[in-house]
Amino acid sequence: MLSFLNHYLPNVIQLGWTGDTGWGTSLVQTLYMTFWSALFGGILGIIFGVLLVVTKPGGINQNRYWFNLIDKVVSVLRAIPFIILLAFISPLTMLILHTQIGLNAILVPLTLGIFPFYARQVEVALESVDKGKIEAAQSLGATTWDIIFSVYLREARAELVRISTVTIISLIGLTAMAGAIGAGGLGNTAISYGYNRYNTDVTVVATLLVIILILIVQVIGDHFANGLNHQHR
Amino acid sequence: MSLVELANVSVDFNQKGETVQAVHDVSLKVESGDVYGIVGYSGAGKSTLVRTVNLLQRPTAGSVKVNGQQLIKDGEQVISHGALQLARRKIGMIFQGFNLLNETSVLENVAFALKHSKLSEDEIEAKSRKLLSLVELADKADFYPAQLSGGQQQRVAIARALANDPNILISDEATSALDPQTTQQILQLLQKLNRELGLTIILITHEMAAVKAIATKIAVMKNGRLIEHGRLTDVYLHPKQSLTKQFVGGSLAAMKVLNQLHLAKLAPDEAIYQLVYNMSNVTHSIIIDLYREVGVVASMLYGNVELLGDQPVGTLMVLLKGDAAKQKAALAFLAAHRVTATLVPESEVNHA
Repeated sequence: MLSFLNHYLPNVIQLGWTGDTGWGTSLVQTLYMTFWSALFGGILGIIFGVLLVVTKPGGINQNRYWFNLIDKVVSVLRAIPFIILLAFISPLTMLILHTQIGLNAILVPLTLGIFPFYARQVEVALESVDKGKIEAAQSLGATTWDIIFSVYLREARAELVRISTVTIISLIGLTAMAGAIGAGGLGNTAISYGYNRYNTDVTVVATLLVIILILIVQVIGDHFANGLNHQHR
Repeated sequence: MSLVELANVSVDFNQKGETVQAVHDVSLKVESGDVYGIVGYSGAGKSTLVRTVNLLQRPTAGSVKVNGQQLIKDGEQVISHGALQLARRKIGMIFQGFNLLNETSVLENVAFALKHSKLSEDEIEAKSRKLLSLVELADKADFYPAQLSGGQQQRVAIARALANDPNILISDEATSALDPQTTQQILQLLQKLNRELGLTIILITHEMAAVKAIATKIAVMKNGRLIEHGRLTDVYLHPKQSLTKQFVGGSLAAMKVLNQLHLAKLAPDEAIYQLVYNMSNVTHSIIIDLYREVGVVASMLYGNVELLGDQPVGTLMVLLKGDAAKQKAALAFLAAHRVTATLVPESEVNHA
């Protein structure tokens, strides 16, 4: 078995599992970047998505000023291509983390890159909640918080899981891009140890690992989304 | 005491720069214990009007007073956001689309309404279960709404609306999405709540049958205006407006029958009338007396008796034969006997 791998994938084996260049190390780095930026970006995205729905004209606490502000921020950040954001944001990263390189530094552009994308999807998911349910809650004397948590977020939860899955998958793509500029992870392995060194086998294996990772996320996401949906018999 | 007092309420909508007046200068008082039916065709402004009671719709002008508390005075909201939330808990509302929370169980749907009550978690659950027993759904507490039938979902909505012990229940086309049999069950439940708990009900519907079954008072709306209102039997037996006359007496069914008769062209001394009368006042035959005393022959084309609440009300479609003077005398005779006669234009009967 090992000789078979040595024969066909010599460079893959040479990188090893642990160590700076190891497969295990880069896999953990990818998971690390994905997890933390999904967490931070997810929290920001939900906050901004909820604010958009609540403050927009006709929303439960409509406020033209706040809506326009948040709407513009989200639109502008979404318009910046991620590869440019990576460079563009580095002074801010320096300010927050006092470093511009490494695994933690990359979390800042990843979070800023993913949250507007997620916020827009949260907005759409919450908008899909029947207005009648909001009215019914209001007629019961529900507060704004009740409506946000018990009606909007609760009723849209299957949809939220679905868009979260899509967002995490996009995020894995972004971590690969971040890897290309030296942040580590499977993207870094594919580019630095594969593509740049003409080690095609390394590039292929790194790509396969990314695909497997995405498939796992998709399967888990679908499973949860279906389990949470009680709209149909 | 009037539970709901609407004074000169108007609601304007802005649609693409144009102002559309959905409700125009409506004044209405609902007394404690009333089952107040508000009828009218779709788009008449019934829903918009009734939404001003709990301020789901803010009126553009007029005053709204509910449970003795002024909510709107001369078009201005005079109640704080927090106080409005408290006031709304005393005004239950049910909707055509039920509007239950689909991702929470039936029990949680009811408990949601009690979130801000002073009750402990256990007491909330106990009260929610009691409310579900009231609507005969105690065994469905752990189901999700989508697992229930439409009628059952509406009953959950009723239990939820009653959670904070409101004095008023607004039913906004609550039976319009249900089949006739289920509609009857829901109406009977509403009537039971009115009788046993003294709940005041405002019933908005385009189905006259629903109003006839349980309403004590009725208001008729057309183009945003309240064109007629009063006690159900008064409005029903002596309607003043032509729209009201269309709504009463099972007119639609009667017209359908009349059209099937393929009547020959009416002679100059013939006319078709719709007669509506309170059966409990009738001790002798109006038709026979009409012939005896006035000399007018009435041929019956259609007849129907229905219950207005507990009162039987008769509707007759008759062809009166007699010259102009006799026709006039016949109408006077009918009016004297408290029978509402409405001329049915020949064009409506003979389409050919």
